[in-house]
Amino acid sequence: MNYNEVEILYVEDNPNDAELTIRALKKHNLANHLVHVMDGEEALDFIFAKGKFSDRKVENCPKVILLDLKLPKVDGMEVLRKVKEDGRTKKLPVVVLTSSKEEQDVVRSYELGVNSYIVKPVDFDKFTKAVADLGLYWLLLNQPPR
Amino acid sequence: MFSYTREELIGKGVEILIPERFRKHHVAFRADFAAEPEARSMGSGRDLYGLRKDGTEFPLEIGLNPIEIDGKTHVLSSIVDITERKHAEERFRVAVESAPNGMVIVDHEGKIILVNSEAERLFGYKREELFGKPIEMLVPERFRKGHMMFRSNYTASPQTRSMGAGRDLYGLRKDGTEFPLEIGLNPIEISGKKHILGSIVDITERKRSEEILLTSEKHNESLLRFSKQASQAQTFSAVLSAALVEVRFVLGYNNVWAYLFAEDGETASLITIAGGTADSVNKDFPVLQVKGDRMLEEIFENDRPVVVEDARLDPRTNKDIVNALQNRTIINVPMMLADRKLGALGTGSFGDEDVRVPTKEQLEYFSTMANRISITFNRIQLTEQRERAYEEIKKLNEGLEERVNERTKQLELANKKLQMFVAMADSSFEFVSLANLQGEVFYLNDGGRKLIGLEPGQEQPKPIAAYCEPATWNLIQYEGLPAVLKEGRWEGEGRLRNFKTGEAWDAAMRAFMVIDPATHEPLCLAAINSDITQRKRTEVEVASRSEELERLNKELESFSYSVSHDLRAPLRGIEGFSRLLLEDYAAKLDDEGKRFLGNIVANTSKMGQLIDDLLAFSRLSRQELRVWTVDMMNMAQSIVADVSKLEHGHTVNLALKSLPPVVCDGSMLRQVWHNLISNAYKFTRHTQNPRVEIGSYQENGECVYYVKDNGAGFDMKYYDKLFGVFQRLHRQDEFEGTGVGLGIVQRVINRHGGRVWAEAAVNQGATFYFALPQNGH
Repeated sequence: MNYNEVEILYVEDNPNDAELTIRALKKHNLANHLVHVMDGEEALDFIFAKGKFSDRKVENCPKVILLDLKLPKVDGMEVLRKVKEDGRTKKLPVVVLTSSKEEQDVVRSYELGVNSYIVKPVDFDKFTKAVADLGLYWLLLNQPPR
Repeated sequence: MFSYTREELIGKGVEILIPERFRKHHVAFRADFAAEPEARSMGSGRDLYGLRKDGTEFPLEIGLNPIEIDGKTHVLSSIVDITERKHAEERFRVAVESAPNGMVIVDHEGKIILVNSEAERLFGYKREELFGKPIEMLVPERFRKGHMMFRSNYTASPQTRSMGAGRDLYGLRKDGTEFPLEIGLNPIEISGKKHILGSIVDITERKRSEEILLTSEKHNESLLRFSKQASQAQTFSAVLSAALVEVRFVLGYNNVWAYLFAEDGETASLITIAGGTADSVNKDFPVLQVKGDRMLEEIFENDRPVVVEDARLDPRTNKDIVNALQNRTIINVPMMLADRKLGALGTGSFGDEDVRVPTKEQLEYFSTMANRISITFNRIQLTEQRERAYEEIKKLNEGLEERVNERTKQLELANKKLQMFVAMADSSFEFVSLANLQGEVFYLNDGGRKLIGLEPGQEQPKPIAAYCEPATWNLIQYEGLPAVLKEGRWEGEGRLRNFKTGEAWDAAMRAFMVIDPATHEPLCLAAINSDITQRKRTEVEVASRSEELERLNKELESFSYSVSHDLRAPLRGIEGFSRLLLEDYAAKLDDEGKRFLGNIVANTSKMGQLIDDLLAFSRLSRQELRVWTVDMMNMAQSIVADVSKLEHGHTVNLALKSLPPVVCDGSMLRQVWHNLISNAYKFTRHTQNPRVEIGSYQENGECVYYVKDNGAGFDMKYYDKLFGVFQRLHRQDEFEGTGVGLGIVQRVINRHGGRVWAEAAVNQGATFYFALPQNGH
């Protein structure tokens, strides 16, 4: 996969969730340019072109980052902060996709500049629909700044 | 007797012995006697006279006795020469006539037979007019009957005595006037008959002088009494009242007044008046104009009494006053004191009392009284002046005494206050000290001495620095004292020494400048330090406990977070893959297998709901209340809309009544309404004609909201489980639920300081109430 053509960076440590999410996106042909990383460190490496992603260019941003909050090593909140702090990446849409309905998580995410906050429903139908909706929205409908 | 010899007379006619002028009659008398001879005296009261040989006559009495001599009747005449007796009678007559007393002789029948010239003068009759008349004509008509009785008694047992036995006797003159008299009575015999000689003295003069004497005595006694009264009188009016008593008694006037002349003689001011006219005089004539009032002018100019006999006629009087007061007789006498004319003392008659002119003696009496009154008035004036002076001195003294007392009281009060303040300061557990402006402590209370560990009797250190730990002294030196000097006060915390234990103690220090309220100059520095060692210790403990609590809270939070995040993920996996199985491998499963997979999905969704509710419930405790005024009506309406959407196909007859707004945490209250309303819908699902009523009422300062349904209800014996978390009163196959909803309701309402309760019966519906304080909290 060409890491400079990635449309969705999906940060998720739970493989079941990841499988279900990717399946839902695939169903709507939205997972063709999707990179799935399993923790915050890997996510940051990708975003800022470090480590195994060092040969990609930071400027070639994905169209959206789907970010879980509870992650090994570096948590989602930290990833979000770093993305929004960096001038090169701060315009990059970040959608938090998490199990947490905690108010404090919602509030903090928005404070750090999250573009959307989605709670993963337990209900499979709802979950599938939510993932498909957000993929459609961010990849097809949203007009990113140039 | 006749100077004849016997021989010369025998045989001669008896008429030879009778004066020529009687002889003719005597012959006739003799013949009469011869016809009826009997022994008797001759002449029957007439004066008989004999004729001597020398031709002289002499008075005689003759007794005639018929005697039989040789059968012939002869007459024996016994002859007595009464010349001597006649002389005596004449002397008596002359004596009576010339007596200075009136003499009246009456016979036994009371007929007047003799009066002397004095008696003529006394009664004004000529004696001829009186002879033979009854004595009673000289007695005033009213005494006559009594007189006749007294006279006959006297005649029965005559004796020499004075008449009247002490009664006042009066004679009646010819002109009808009467006069007082005294009568001495003497029984006398004249020509052998009993007569009464009355010796009469006119006692008019004596009576008069007696009366004068009596009057003068009366006046003197009256004046004596008055003097006594006056000497005790303290006021002018008391003097005049006493005077009036005497004047009434002695003079018969019913008013007494006194006027004082002004120095210039222009006016006379009423000092006081006693008697019936007092009120009108006091009211209308307190001051009289002397000028132009002739009577007053006369009184003022003369030192003599002025008597107006009839004020209505007398040209000297002021007729206005006379008409007003109905004056009749007016008597004014000067009141003099050592040739100084004080004024006039007056009395007189008014109206019906008519004119009553005083006698000379009465005027004298009244003048004397005026003198006494002058003296008394003078005494009273002097006494009053003296008393006024005394009063003034007394008042001055009292004022002085009062001021001294006041000052003493103030001092005592101040002293007492000081003592109280010292006692208060001493009994305080705080460290209370005073220091002079040089920073030397000169007072330290008992509490302070204990706190710094001084032994009884041990002198407290002078410099403030001696009390402090070095750091504290620095604080005081560089922050405290400058603040006190600049702003008057300072507060801070520091550590002070305890000399006994050597351990410092934590002190909350308050220092201020004591200002003299009078001069506004600073007097001294005061410090009040509280021992806060214990508090400090407690604060530290509390702080560490708070930290612990915070840590626990954080743990709980991360636990909740984990639950929220981590518990949900596997559920999602179970559900997701079960659904995938159903979607992608349906053909390979029989119906029973599909049903099992369906059960797995249903259970995972149920567990998801449980987790959500549990998280919501635990959040309620941690979440801070954010209160504002919430439109309950609006909120209930929107929730009803949500709920009825969820409960589609279940139509409820809803009565939404008025719900007043309330200050509360809106997002929490939303959960309350949501849980209660959705319960009402849920539990009426199997009810015919389901009804839900939402309303409110005011009670005891609370607003009570309620949601009432006619659904399944519950048995009140399980009421205590109603609001418990995960407690359910219905089976899952009847009504689904996690048992958290009412737990949330109760927690939210409790956090708002309100109450929640319910009433229900099985299959008869339930009503849930919650009350919130009306003024927020």
